Amino acid sequence: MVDSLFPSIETTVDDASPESRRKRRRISETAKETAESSEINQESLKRWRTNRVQQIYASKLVEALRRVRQRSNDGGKITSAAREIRDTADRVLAASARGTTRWSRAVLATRVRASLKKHKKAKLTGARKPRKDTAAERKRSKLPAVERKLKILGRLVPGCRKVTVPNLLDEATDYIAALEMQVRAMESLAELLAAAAPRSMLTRP
Amino acid sequence: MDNELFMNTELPPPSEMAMHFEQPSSSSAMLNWGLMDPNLARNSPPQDCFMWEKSTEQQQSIFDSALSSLVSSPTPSNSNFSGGGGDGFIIRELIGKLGNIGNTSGDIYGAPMNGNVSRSASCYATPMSSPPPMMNRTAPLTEFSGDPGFAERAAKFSCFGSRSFNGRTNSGIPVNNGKIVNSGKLTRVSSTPALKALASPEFASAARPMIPAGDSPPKLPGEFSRKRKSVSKGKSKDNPLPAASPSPSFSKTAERKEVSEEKGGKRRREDEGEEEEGNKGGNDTKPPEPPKDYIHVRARRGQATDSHSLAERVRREKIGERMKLLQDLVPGCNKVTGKALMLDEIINYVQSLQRQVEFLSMKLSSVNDTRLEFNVDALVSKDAMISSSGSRVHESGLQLESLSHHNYNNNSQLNTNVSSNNMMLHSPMKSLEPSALARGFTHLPTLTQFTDTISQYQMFSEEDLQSIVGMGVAHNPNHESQSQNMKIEL
Repeated sequence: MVDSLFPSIETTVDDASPESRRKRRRISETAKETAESSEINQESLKRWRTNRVQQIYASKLVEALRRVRQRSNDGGKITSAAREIRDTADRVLAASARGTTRWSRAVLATRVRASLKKHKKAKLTGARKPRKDTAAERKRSKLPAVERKLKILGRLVPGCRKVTVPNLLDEATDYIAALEMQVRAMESLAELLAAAAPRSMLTRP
Repeated sequence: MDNELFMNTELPPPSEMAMHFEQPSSSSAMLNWGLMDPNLARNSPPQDCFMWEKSTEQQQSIFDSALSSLVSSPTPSNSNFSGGGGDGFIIRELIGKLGNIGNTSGDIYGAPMNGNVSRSASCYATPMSSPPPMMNRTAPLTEFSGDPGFAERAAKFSCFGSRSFNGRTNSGIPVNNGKIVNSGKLTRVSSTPALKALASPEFASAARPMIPAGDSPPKLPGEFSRKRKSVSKGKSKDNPLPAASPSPSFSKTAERKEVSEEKGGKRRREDEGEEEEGNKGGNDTKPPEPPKDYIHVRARRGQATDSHSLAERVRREKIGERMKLLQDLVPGCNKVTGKALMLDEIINYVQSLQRQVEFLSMKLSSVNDTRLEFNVDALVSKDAMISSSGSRVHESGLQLESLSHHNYNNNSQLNTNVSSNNMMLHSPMKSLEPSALARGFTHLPTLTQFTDTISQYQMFSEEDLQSIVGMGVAHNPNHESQSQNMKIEL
């Protein structure tokens, strides 16, 4: 009823400052979220649990690993470091998320950033002063325990350092589900490969 | 505060009013000046005059009755005003004069446009010349004479009066006082086109005569609007005005104009939405209805209906929902209650999962060195079969899993990893998909490396140790045959 009184008002306010637009967008976002949050989360969890997803991930991972191995072989290196493989696995995982989640986008973006940084000069890393953990600081930082833990969680989930609490929890949920799928797929893959490998190892002199 | 306003300006207005009334000739000049006043100009004076004329007949009876009541009962009106006694006197004087004028002839109402406008303009003009409080005095006459939607406004402003004017509960005078304030401020406040635009659709339903007075409520003087805003804020979630929608719209518009138009409007609209929801079914459980833009939340029974607490409650519930989902996801979180402990568990779980991934990537790297190319299709198909096949014996799965760790080259580095991962692997095995892992381990590699690395698994659980010892002790060919058997089974 009230809204009917202000249709024109809204239109006049529509071309208002970006603040209001952002606020309205946020409000509409949260409105949608409250309506569908549980459904969304359950859906996202379910999508990481299906076998099909796992298979897709495994096949993609195998291909990526092959490419990595080829590249390293061409470069002269033979041993592909575990880190490379882990990064590859993470990237493939993020790719299978289809960019719907923040952490997946951050994972895919870090690679670009890393490749860019390689070309740049390495900055001095000694500029960071180690903070002396005084008692006062400890007391100060101990007060919002939940907030501290949320910050730690934000650091763990890639690309979620400055994210609001409910979004952080959403991202963490999706990230945990994705990680579980990744672990499962990699384990089965490792087993399969290990099963196949020793045969060749045995044949080697 | 508003009492003071009324108190301060006792003397001058009457004299001015008398002056103005005695000099209708000057009214024409005043009329022009009043017309040139931006508000009036924007209001399109002919419109005003039309409205005034239109409503005069309606108002006359009301006006007369009000006048008679006022004139006849000076003391009650006096008592109505806690601090506005002087005001009452002045008003009565003015009204008395007006009453004479009005009673003598409907001429005043039937008077030509100019006359009406002039009178009102004169009254408006005086405020322009005099300090703001004086406008309060002069306005009532104009309000009386040219008050188009008098009845409607009376109803509405009586509600206003009960809210914002503490001592004035009487409908007659408070309405006038409200009008006094509002219309008095009409001239002073500068109305922007946006406000006009805002005002017009709002008050379209309330009839066009409302517009001149409609502008005034939004353009309340600082203190009144502030007061109204504070009052409304304090009571926004309680039962606000039981009046019709225009009055909440009035207050809301007042607030909106005072604050920034965009932000304030949004907030007020949200409040309004919540208010109305609260009004309609304040005791219902909260269904978060998804409106177009705003979250409409119902206050639950026995809970605070303040806008802040409502928003906080929504926020807390959102976070709680997500924590519950995480609780289902993270194993072992069911017993834990409280956000901090659960967050601890979640952090630990995420860290362990990441460590597992790193561990497995190391494993894969070692495998990568040997063979990867020709096995891809076979592996993929096997993986598919593994995932879809039936469940395996848990014990054998455990054994196989422990055996699988033998394949690592850099065992020392993996000591801690293995132990920790084994712990974690067991739990995901139990909780997630033990069958898949067990199936994955059916393809046993050759067990030549078992005995080398058996010492690593001292941190395993009892059953693991037994299985490992069992496996380690057993002959290789036995295991090979076993593995071959398992392969055949697959």
